[in-house]
Amino acid sequence: MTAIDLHGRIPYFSDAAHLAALNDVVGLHTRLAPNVLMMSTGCSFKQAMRILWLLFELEFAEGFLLLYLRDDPDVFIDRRSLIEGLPDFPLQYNYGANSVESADDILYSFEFVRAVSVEFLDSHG
Amino acid sequence: MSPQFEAFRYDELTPDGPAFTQAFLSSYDFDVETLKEIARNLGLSVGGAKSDLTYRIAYCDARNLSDVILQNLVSRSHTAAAFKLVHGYQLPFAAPPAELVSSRGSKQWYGPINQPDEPTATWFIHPLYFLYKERDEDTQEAELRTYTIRWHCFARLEGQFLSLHWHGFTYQNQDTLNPRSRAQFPYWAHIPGMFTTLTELLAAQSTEVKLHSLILETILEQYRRNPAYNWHDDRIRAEAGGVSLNARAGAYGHAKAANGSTQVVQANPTDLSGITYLAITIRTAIERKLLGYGIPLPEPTEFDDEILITLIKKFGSQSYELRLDDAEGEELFNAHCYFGTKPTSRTPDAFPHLQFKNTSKVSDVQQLTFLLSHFDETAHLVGE
Repeated sequence: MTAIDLHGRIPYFSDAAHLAALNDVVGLHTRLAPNVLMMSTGCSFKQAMRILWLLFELEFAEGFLLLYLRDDPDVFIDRRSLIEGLPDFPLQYNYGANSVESADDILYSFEFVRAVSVEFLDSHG
Repeated sequence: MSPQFEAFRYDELTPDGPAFTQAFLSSYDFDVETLKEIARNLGLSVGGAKSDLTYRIAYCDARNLSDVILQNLVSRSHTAAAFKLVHGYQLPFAAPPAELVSSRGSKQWYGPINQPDEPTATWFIHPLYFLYKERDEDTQEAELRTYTIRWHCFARLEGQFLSLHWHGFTYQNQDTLNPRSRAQFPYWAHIPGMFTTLTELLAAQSTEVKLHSLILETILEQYRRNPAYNWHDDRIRAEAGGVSLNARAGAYGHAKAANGSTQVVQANPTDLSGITYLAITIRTAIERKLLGYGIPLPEPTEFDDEILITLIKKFGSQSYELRLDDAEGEELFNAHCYFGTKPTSRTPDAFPHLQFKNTSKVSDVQQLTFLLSHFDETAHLVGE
């Protein structure tokens, strides 16, 4: 288990209950997305992204870009490494059976795949 | 027989004046009870069919006709709402709302409208207009009828909260014009912009409220395991790890009897509603597997609840439908809560809002008031 000290940089998680909820959900999932952290801890999108980006920056997680159809965003249609950047269009999906013509029809989200067990601490909390 | 169209639509030939007022009163925006209340307020007879009532009201010469109609229009419960915190506003005088009663009006904010029984709240109305073509559902005749839909967004300002209220509706799919193909009115494309224009009119600063925190932290923790209340998990839509979950309870449990009364039709007291059944099935499978290893599962109901909480809170909820009753079975809150997890999508997930059950006896304003009584500025505002 690797400890990550937030040093009070995200004040929301200086609260002991919020920090416990964060550790609970990060321990439960290896595939972490901002909405998963938001719903589990009550944090905002920005706070969730700061936590996830920290995992990515420390090389404790790999980062992915998820692509959804704006009209049907329940499940992503493509998942690519953050390092690859944005896709080219037209973009084929569903094994080439469908395609999206323009970025206007796509919305993006992020996923971070945790590679190690981590525990967040806040020495300023 | 076609069901009543769930928004106000009119033929372009309808002239302004009492004929337009009658068309408006005949629409879905006014049910018979609301029309009777308007008639009572105007000192008119409440007898007869809806068409008699609308005629009597539209052609009466009361000086306060528009005020009474508008007050009853805004006080009728709406099926959806969204809210924000606002501060530093000044109450504006927008366009005169009486214009909407006797004529088409235009795409702008109208108000203020004040309700005698809500002295601290102020209402505004914003109409939107859409051309709409329809093939007759009964005769399926080839000729299309063309209407204008005037859809209303209602704004309620009370203290630090600005809430928008509306009725969702479905219509014939305008791409196929097939009477059997229905499309949902895309309110998500309009409501966020309504907040922007009204906030500008109010010269106010607005702040987003974390609806997910208010529902999944505060309300859930305070009431879900509270023996003084009855909590029902009715639907969960969630997404995590590439898995999309859409679990909802079936419609049994409560149903409308032929005489219109609501009665419980649950035949077997051991029947369980959908989402609880899902949790119990998963727990039972694990329990049976553990028994194979000679390990009994302690406190099975605690495990059921842990599975449910995992689905509700820890699996990336996109929306969550719940019903909360007090100990006497009186409804306090009954809504499908959308958390706005897909902000640029062309779906209801585009912004945080509530869809109230239209079977609820508790109005949208009462439910919103209940919810906002739990609002805590330090916990529920989108901050750093």
